[in-house]
Amino acid sequence: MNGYRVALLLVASVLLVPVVPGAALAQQDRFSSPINSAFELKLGRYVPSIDAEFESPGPFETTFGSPGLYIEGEYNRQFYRGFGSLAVGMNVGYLGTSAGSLTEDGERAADRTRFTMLPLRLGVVYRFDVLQNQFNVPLVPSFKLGLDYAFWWVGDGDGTASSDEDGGVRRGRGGTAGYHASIGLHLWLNWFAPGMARTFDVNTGVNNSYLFVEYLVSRLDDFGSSSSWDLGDNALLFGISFEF
Amino acid sequence: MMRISCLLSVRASFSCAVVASLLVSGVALADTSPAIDRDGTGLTIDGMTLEATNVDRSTRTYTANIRDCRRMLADNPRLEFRWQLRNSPLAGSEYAIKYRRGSQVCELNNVTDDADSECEVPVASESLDGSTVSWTIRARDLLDVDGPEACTADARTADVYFVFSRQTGSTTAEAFDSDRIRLRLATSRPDPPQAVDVRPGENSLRIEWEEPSNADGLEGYVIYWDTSPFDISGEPEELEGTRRRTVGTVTSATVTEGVSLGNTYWVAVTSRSRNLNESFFSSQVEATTVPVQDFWQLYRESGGVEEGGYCSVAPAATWIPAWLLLLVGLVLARRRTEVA
Repeated sequence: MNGYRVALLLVASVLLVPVVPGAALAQQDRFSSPINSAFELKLGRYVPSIDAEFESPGPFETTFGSPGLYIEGEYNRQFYRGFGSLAVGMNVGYLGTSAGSLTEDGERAADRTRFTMLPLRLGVVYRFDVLQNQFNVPLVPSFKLGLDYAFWWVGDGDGTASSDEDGGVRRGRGGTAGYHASIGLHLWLNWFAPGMARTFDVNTGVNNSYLFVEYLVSRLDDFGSSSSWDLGDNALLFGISFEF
Repeated sequence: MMRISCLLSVRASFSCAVVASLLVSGVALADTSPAIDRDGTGLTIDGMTLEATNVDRSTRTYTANIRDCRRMLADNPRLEFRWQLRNSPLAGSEYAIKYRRGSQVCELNNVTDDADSECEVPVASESLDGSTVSWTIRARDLLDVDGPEACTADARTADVYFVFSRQTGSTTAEAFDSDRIRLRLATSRPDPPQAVDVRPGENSLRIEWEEPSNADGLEGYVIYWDTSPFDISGEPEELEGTRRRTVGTVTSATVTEGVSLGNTYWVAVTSRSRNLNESFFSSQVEATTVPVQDFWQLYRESGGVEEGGYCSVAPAATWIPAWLLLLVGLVLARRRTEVA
């Protein structure tokens, strides 16, 4: 599924969603606490595009097959609230996968090899919550754009992996820069249980809660450097979000 | 009905509070009547601790395994039993210490050395003057561990009873309380694991096995490996100089300690019971470590262009904490704004 199709699907979902007329939630509750931040926790399947420079199957697929779960936390600091909200977003992600190393015969050995990636993202987040606040529509699209820097390292069972080459030892660790863009659709949980949401706000200061799906497009290849692999991916992430 | 409890105390290095309760039928007594105190007493074994550390507090049973048995043979440690009474005994109260071995039966409604009793009664009709009673005996003597055969496939039990009179001038059974500490010798070995197999890597060995046909009561397994063949006809307790690793009730494990490329290793596995007794060895398997390709080596050898390293002067160790610090700072700034 490419990015355009996902975007069309999200827009169509917003237009087709039923609106509950006259609901008290249509306007921001005057007794609710102020909003200037949001936190998201999301996860999904993420396959770094390392094998893009090889014919299939590449070394990543050969070694790890299907990688593990990717998990990411995001904090947004909103600096504009009006027609939607604008925020600075900071993310910390984690992807770790391991498998038995391969012998010369292609058999799996007892030694484990591990690939770990820790992407840090900094970007701008726009949340189009006008429909939520004005018309009680429980769907909030979001759009994100930003720069990334991913730390990564490869383990070989007894430390960081390395390979001996003519020029010396190449350590299997480093950092790769890039960028990302994403589009998401948040399902507003307050819409289903407004009373509980108000209590949650009073007790914790969390104004809005969401379940969401996000389509992430990231390119982590040192901006097209010929000496860099690509750790990016087009990934569908699912998560929960709190606005407070 | 009256509930009493007792603690067993033994000297020196090992102290273990043991609490028990015993329901004894009898006349209702005032709160000032002597009863065994749960607190402030313990057990010490002179010169050794029970390796099995198998203290069942509900039955106050101390279990000694094969290694314990052998140390008893070598050191013959002393066991000190100590009972603490909650209240001072009544004038004229008496007590007895009785040993019960195997299926013997002890009379617990008197403090005399009853000739008809099967028990050994080292102390009888002794005046109960203070609120503490202590008694010491050699562990080997109590358990009748008189030779190495006792430490092989044996199971025997010895109980130590403390019996005392709660009322004076009465000979009715209700006038006596008693308490028991049990020492159990369990030296039976479990069956060894089957079908041991070793899959070598570059710096590790993956060992797999099947559990023995009777795996009930197993606590885990012990893996032995060495760069030369070792004697698996003997007992695991006697094996020295061989690397070993204890694992739980799994059927595979990876060992890396002392394993390096190009060497041949011999591996055997034993089962281990809950009393920490090991089985005899499984068959011995040989394996030679082989070179392997981790992901990074495979990537580079496949012609990958990434060379590693950071495009910043600061390594990950600097950037990651800085990033997290910035996150925390933003959150704190938000909270400060709210307070203001």
